[in-house]
Amino acid sequence: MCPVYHTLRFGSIEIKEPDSLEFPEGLLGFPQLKHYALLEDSEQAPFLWLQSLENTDLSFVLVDPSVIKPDYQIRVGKEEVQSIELDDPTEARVFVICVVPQEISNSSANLKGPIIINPKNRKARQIVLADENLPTRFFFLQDPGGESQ
Amino acid sequence: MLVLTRKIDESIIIGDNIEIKVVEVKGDTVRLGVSAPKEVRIHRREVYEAILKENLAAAQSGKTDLTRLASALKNLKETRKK
Repeated sequence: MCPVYHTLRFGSIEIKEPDSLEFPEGLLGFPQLKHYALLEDSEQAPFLWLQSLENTDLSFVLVDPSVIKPDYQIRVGKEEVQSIELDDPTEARVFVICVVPQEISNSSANLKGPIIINPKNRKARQIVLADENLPTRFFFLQDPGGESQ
Repeated sequence: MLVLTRKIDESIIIGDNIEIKVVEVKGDTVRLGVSAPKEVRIHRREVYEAILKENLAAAQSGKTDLTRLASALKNLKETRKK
């Protein structure tokens, strides 16, 4: 039997255990919340929801960074992905968290703190990148699609 | 907060396996060396806080219409192609 979660945003959803993600360290600012579901809807692509399964009011908008910044490349040390047992970094799914305000054109993505998912064991982690040129607010709907002023 | 006074080359140890050493002092700048197990994350505070702040802002995305956002992105890409 699939667990049913009563969420604020999606109403009741059923998540099979294998589809849920585990963040062993939670997210920065939400260290206690470790279980999430990735919810995709083709009409909203390339955006998806990361829905907390422990705090049903909490969700985040994620996007594949290569869609908003094609040259986005990250280097991750082995020890940074140890907690999610990622042996082959090329297998990881990478997403960035978006802030979507009332005025949609001011939406931004945090390129400095991406989420790395190990699809093999469904474990995930938010990492903080050392590259000083990566912004925490990349305004992807603004020309020239650049960084915060 | 525990405040300890150290001279250059002196260290403090946190727990059993994290060491912070004063490597150099130049004017009002202090260079610190940190020895810790590989899996322990170490960040400049302001960077850590910036990520945290963005996460908190993102968590308040409220009533968000992702379909509109997806359209806006699609429109932008199409405009750029021209």
